[in-house]
Amino acid sequence: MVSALPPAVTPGNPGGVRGWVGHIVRTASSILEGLAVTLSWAFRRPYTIQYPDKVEVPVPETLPEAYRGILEVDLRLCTGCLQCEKTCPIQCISISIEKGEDAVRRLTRFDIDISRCMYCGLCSESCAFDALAHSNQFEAARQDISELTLHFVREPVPVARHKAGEAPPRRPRGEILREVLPGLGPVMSPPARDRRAGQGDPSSGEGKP
Amino acid sequence: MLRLIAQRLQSWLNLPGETGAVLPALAVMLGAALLAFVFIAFFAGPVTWWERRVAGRVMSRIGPNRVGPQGVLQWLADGLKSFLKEDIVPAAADRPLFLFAPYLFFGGYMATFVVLPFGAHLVATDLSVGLLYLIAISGLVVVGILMAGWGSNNKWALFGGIRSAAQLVSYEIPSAFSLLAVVLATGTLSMQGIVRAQGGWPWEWLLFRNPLLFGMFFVSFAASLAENNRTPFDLPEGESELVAGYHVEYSGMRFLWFMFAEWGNLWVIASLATVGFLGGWQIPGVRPEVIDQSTGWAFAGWQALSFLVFAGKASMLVLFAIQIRWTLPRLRVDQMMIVCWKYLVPLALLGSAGVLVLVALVPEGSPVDWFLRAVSLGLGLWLIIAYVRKARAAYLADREPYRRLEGKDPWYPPYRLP
Amino acid sequence: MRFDAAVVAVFLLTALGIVGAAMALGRLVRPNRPDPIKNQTYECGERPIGSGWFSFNPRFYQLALLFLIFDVEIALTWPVAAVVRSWVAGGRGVVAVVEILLFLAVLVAALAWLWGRGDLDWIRELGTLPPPGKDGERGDDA
Repeated sequence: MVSALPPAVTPGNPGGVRGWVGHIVRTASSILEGLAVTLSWAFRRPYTIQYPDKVEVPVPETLPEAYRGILEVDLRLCTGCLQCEKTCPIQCISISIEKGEDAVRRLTRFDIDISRCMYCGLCSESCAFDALAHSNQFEAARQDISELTLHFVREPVPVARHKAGEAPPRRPRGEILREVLPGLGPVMSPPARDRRAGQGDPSSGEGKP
Repeated sequence: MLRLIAQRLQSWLNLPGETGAVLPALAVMLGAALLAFVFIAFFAGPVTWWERRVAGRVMSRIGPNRVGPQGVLQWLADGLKSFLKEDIVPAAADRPLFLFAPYLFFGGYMATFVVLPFGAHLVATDLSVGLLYLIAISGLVVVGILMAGWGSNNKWALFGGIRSAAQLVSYEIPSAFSLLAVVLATGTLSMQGIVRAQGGWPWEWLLFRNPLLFGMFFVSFAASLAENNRTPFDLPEGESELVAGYHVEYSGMRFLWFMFAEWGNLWVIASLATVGFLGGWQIPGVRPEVIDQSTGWAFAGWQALSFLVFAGKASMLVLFAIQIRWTLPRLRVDQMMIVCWKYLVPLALLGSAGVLVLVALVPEGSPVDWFLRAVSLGLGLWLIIAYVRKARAAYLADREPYRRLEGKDPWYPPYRLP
Repeated sequence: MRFDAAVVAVFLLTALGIVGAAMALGRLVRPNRPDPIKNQTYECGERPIGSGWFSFNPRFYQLALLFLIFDVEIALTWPVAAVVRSWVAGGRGVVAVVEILLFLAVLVAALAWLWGRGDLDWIRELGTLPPPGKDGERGDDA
């Protein structure tokens, strides 16, 4: 209907009787045109994919490697340098380290409040030991906001002191997260893991439906 | 119908005379009102689901399909959710006005059901001024809207309320003048009288009586849509400028009453157009006298059949209104006023005058009358054929890229719902 | 007649009763935890500025007047329209037709006059107002 009122016709200038009739004819025909288009869509396949349960491949697996999902920390690699805590612009990471009687520094707390985290990635960039990284998980809806504070330290663990090149490899993405965030589904379906391990090209996005 | 049942009830209960008639009559009326409410609930609810499904398909989405098979129970979930939600009253609001507005809104809406004929005798009461009553009583809705808009003490709500009131009263003029053509052609204001003045077959409908009435149907329908605040005339609740219009501040169940009436109103729009132009409940090939003279089960059967005919026509119009909603963009407020006062009102005035002249000059059944009917029938057929052909062309035009994208057959008829 | 009026009243009261009953019933199950922030006037998340009861544009008032005039005409025309057919059948068709046509003609003339005066326009420019001191006519076709 809007298109039936061309800009030349202002409220003060209806354009004479001919213009008036022309507007009505154009209105009617353009409405018919529009109705025909919407009707034609009634016979087409809907394009949406029914997330989350009717997708062929779980969505996290289709995400690129650099995707910044929920943060996870591999405590075997964390040296307790506190760089991440200092870098975080919104202070959603809180770490405590205590020195025991045996003079070993132990991590007693490594909490990340993912309800406040804005996924900027500064902490994982600043982590020199690849301990803190983004997983590929993002579905963390919970009933209570306090459940979204992830406690990575269950019992005090000594901070890592690896020599260069001796550090153990990082655990697969999302695995640690699954331990601290109950209710998270399987992080990777077996076929996808095989595919990823075999081809070594995780960002090809072949799993896209 | 109600009167008859009341009389039967009275004689069955053995209540004497004038005073004895009051109680059964009231009971029957209350029953009818509750029945009407149940009908509204079971119409307005599913129609919200259906509207969202249609919207989904138009936008190449699926629409709600989780609650119940194909999502048909979505409306129950929505209703229950609203029922359990907190009823927030803003501290700054005018409390009595704010609380009472939904009552008036819904009351004004439900009062229209008094005269809506659902079937040959299925009508609460056939007022002799039925059509006038219908137009008049829907004025209560305007009061409800203004109350809600003013009572909320909210800028959006006031804007929405005022705009809505302006729109409703403006579009009442073309609506009434296009229905004037119906009154002129049928010579009665009673809803049942208007239906009985038409017939079951399409060429007996007022829609195809003459080309002027054919045009009046669209004027009337457009004005009805505007009176129900439906797209393309839903600017009182234009989300992009007014958030939600007059019901911004409402929440929970109180909000639901507005939505309830708004969706239920689709039935009123469709019924009004069906009664006025599409022959109402008239069954093709059956004279109304046959229904009047039938008794017992035959009578009940005719009622059911006439209701089915009526519901079928009305449902088609509801579907049409829904499709229009998902086709046309919203008008701007100045365009809305232009469309009303500079296009619809003159059209309705001229159309009614033309119908008046035709009624006076062309006696029913004369060759000219049949010629006019043939012309309007041809017009209608041409419109339908053009519509289908255009739809087919639109479908074929977009088919190839779609197929390449999906790798599947794009043909997906509506009955194959995901 | 009394019966019909009673039906209308019963329908209206039933509607009010149903709404009231649902609201009362809902009271039992719904939470009620008002707090000052929740009960603030909604203004898209901003702190509300001033009252919502501002004075709105007078064109709504003008529109209401317009509506009133036309609606009264409708109320006057409809009863006559309802009897036109019987009058035509009774041989007095000309009277009825001329009567209504005259009535509609007055309406059309009124509409045309309002249109020409610019009263149907939503967007108006202050520039079209006559300078003060001139005669009361405004919007002359300059």
